[in-house]
Amino acid sequence: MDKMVGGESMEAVKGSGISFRYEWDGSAPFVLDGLSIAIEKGQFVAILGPNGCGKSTLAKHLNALLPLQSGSLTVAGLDVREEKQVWELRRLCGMVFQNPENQFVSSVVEEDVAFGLENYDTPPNEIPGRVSRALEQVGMTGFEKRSPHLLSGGQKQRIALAGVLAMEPELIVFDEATAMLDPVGREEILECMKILAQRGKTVIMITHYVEEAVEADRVILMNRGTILADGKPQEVLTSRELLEQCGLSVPMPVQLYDDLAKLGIRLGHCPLTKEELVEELCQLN
Amino acid sequence: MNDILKGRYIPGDSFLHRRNGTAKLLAFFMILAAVLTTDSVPGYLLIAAVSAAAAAMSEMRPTKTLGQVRHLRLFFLMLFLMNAFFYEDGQAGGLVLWSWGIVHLSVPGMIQGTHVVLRILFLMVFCNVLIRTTPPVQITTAIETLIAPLRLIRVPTAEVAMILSVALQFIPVFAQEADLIKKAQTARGAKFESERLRDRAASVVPLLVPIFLSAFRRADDLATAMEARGYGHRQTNGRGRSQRAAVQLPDVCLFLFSCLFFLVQAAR
Repeated sequence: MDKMVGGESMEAVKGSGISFRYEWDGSAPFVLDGLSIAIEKGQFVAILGPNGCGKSTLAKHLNALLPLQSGSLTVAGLDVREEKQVWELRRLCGMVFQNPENQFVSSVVEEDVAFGLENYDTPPNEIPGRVSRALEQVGMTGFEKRSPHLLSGGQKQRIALAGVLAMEPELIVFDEATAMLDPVGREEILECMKILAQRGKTVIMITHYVEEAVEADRVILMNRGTILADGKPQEVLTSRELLEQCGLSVPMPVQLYDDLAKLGIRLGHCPLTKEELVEELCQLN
Repeated sequence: MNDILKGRYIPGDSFLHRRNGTAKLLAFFMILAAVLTTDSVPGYLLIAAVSAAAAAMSEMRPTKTLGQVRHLRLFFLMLFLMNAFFYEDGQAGGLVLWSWGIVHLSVPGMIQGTHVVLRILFLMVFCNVLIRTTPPVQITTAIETLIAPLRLIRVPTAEVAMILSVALQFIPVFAQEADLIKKAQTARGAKFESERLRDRAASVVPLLVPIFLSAFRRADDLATAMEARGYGHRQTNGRGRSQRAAVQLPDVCLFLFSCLFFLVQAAR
């Protein structure tokens, strides 16, 4: 199976014509409406959209937590429709959810991180090594014996991420993984995403925070079950029209860039982050 | 909330921490039997000595082994009084100090009450030592090992152990949540601290509904997260193998000692 994964294509996710509705009686609206998507291996992609636009539903299709009703979808080289491959698919496509507390199955960190490994019958002598490597990757070495419930939000989410990393997945989906965290926790998780992307993992961040999407290499903007825009953050997140169509607002630096333009003050180029904004402002004189 | 956390596993490297979970659980059952058969002063002294030894072996201060006992003082008092006033031997020959209708304050009743209180007190001590020195996963693995023969009659033992483990670790989460909901409702005028029993009972109902709703939501989330991490892939028997200590000579000694303790107490 691994050979098949490694050999075929450069695409981590390839789907077309994906439609989905929660009640399949024809009356419920389409949550995903003929959506097509392709994500290359090693990309750091943000799927951005307002609540209810179908982004989490799409995420749950990636590791077959929801059945594909129509269209086709291949993730890590595996067809999500193939029931026999479903468990291998879930190993290769890890997922971190919104509420870290609802992801823990054990009250000791190392046992929780080992949960997935045990489900896949990993030899017991390999487990401690993989658990400590996973904890090291998220900067939580030394917390092995602690109780996840007594950690901070960001630390909890990093433990949940370690549980996913221990299974050595090819792509990792963060399904609004920062939504319940304080600013420090959000920063910690974003940092983890960036590090994973640098190490060559495919990272898919599902979010409704425009400021977070800025960090990705590519932004897919979703609205009402379809893809509205797809491109570099600089292209998508500077478009007030597109974002407002989805009920989102442009990032603060873009807002300021526009306001300054109205006053006749032109910056070199439209900044996306506060750092870029400061740099542009410093170059004004 | 913190009180609930106090009764949980505390990581450590004491003699009891290092013991095999199954051996500890079996020893606990034997000690439990020994405590329940005790009814004499030397017997209780011996139990006190054994509980002190257990505290020493788990590197806990003896007072810590009592855990949340002080919160249950009213329960112990009620237990004692119920026995003192309603013990049947009071009517049959024992010294009755005071009588009114069906209520008899008798010396045998008071003795029985003391027995019951002491036994439960010691059981709590040993239970605390077990819980504080054994990670939940080891307890569930031990239970799984002990009920393994039931697999022959198709009882899903691994699932039963998993359910126990998840239930155990969600207790503090719900305690925290209950606390939060309680505060939110107090802020809106609910009377949890009222002197009147009726008010207090009535205030529990609006607390139960959100907690139940949240429990279902959390259960759903957890099930999804577990499935995403491969739970249900195949039957995983013997979870926690990587951390499970192999059975060693001290484990066997611990179990044999608990058997001996039971025999001594039973023979008394």
